[in-house]
Amino acid sequence: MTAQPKRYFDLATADPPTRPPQGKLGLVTADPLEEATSPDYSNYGESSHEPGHPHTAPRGATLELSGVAYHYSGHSAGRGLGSKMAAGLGPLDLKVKAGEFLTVVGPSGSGKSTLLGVLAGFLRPQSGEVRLAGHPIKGPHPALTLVQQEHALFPWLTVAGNVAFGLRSQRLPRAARDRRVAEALAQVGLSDYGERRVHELSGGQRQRISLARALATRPGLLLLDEPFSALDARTRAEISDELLGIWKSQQVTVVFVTHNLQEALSLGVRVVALRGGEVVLDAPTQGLRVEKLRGVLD
Amino acid sequence: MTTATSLTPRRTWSRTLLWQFLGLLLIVGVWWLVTDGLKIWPKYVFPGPKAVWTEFSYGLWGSGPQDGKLLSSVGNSLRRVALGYLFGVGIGGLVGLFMSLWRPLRDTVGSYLQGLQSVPSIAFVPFAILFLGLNEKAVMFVVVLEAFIPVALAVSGAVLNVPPAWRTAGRTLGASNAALVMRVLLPAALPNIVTGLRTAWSFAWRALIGAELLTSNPGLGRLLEVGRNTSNVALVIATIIIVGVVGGLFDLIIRAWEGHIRRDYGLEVAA
Ligand SMILES: Nc1ncnc2c1ncn2[C@@H]1O[C@H](COP(=O)(O)OP(=O)(O)O)[C@@H](O)[C@H]1O
Ligand SMILES: [Mg+2]
Repeated sequence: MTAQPKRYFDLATADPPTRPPQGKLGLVTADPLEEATSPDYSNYGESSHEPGHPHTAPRGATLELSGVAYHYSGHSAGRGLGSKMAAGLGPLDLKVKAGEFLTVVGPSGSGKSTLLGVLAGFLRPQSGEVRLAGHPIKGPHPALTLVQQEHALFPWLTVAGNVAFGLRSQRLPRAARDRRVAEALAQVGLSDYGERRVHELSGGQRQRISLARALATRPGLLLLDEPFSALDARTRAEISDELLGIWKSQQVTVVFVTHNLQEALSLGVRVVALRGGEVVLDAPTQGLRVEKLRGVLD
Repeated sequence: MTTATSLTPRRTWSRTLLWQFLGLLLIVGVWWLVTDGLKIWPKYVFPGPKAVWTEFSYGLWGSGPQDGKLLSSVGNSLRRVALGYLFGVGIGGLVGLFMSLWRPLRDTVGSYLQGLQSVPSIAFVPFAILFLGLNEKAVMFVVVLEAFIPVALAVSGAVLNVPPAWRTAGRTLGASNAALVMRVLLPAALPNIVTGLRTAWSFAWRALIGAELLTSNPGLGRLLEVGRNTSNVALVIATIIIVGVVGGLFDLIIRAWEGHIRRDYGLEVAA
């Protein structure tokens, strides 16, 4: 097990190295054997969120936006003063604390996907700065894994091949890779689907495989863009539980985008509401009511 | 002769084959009727199926001193096209890939390739002869060029058309630049690249026959010229049929591969 690369979360460098270092900095590992030493999250859901609470355990790294604005070209250009706001995001400040489960809600077009794109380093903001553990990031970073809103599974690979994709980048040995793939498929309840082709899956199954593909890489920060939108209520509940379990046991930081207010409140420790590219609410979910959330979004 | 067999679902294959066979019978029947049957034209102007068959039997499996020409010509042409096609596809693939990755190359070379593709291959033959001499090299030059252009254009177009979501997925899963090209962009572009390979084949094969005809290198092209010089229309027709069959067969193979890929990628409704 010691030969396995640990979850990569490099605090020392801002630019992604081409190869994840092996077990650097003694940060969070995903080794199941180490679960015993991790904080106890079993009382999640009933507890309060006072400082020092395990939900916001200072493991991993903080992702921070300061004064970030992203506007799509063609919309922002050529608009005079006082015209309607250009499509996009911000300027806004946002801090995703290490180990937290942050949900982002907002109506369609409010900038949720744009926000994730900026957080993941795929959209370079026109102003402001994105910092990971205090270091500015200039592009995609190995510690941040994005699951896009539209499924982006690779049709030239089997389901198992898709899930193994990120592990090949990590140069994980074959046996460890197979184990991780099996584990990730089990986590999303699709263990028997490894040999299937992508086009043989339903929309909901594709979403679950997209999630499994991201989980398999053991990211430090998981950015999920409406990952359950195509799931039926029951599967959604199952996978949500699974995701919460992973979050508790692996201390991954999760940013979860949804347009479902109920889901935002039940999953997240903290919720950010977006409207027209602006943050209209940023509060702990504890004690927050759906009506209040609906109120700020209307 | 080469209808879209492999692109149609498997279930209807036998049916398609049956119709193709009936079509062939009809064509040969009409041909026989207007030649040997009604004797509209003299034999030396437009011979019937029987005379052409005789040319086949002499040319392909005859053992006289003048026989076997068709077979050796097919061999010569195939050797040339195989070499030229592989070489053209190889450099075309590389140039196409670099074109897709590097904009200045695309804007310069790329836009000229598009224009060059509209020049009929036969138009390059005089240049090739003057530049390289009346020899095998001139033929190869044209074949390589005709395979190179469509492949370069197909690869660069296909890679540029890869949906951004797949690039993003590759990146977020930690792929390096090289890995992104090898494990995302090229596989994603494969269906369109294979279509380019098919175009390149038909261009290269046509270019070969044309160039052989003009340069008198032993091959199917020269056989057409020999037929013309000796007023042997039956030989000319037999050669045309062979050119069509060989070209169509290889096209069929690439088509089958293309269909297989498209089904794997979910681009086609499976049977
Ligand atoms: N590629 C793009 N080009 C131009 N405008 C875009 C693009 N993507 C999104 N937008 C616009 O930016 C705004 C925010 O979009 P998005 O972040 O996708 O919203 P959400 O994910 O909350 O539905 C919308 O008004 C949308 O029309
Ligand atoms: Mg969105």
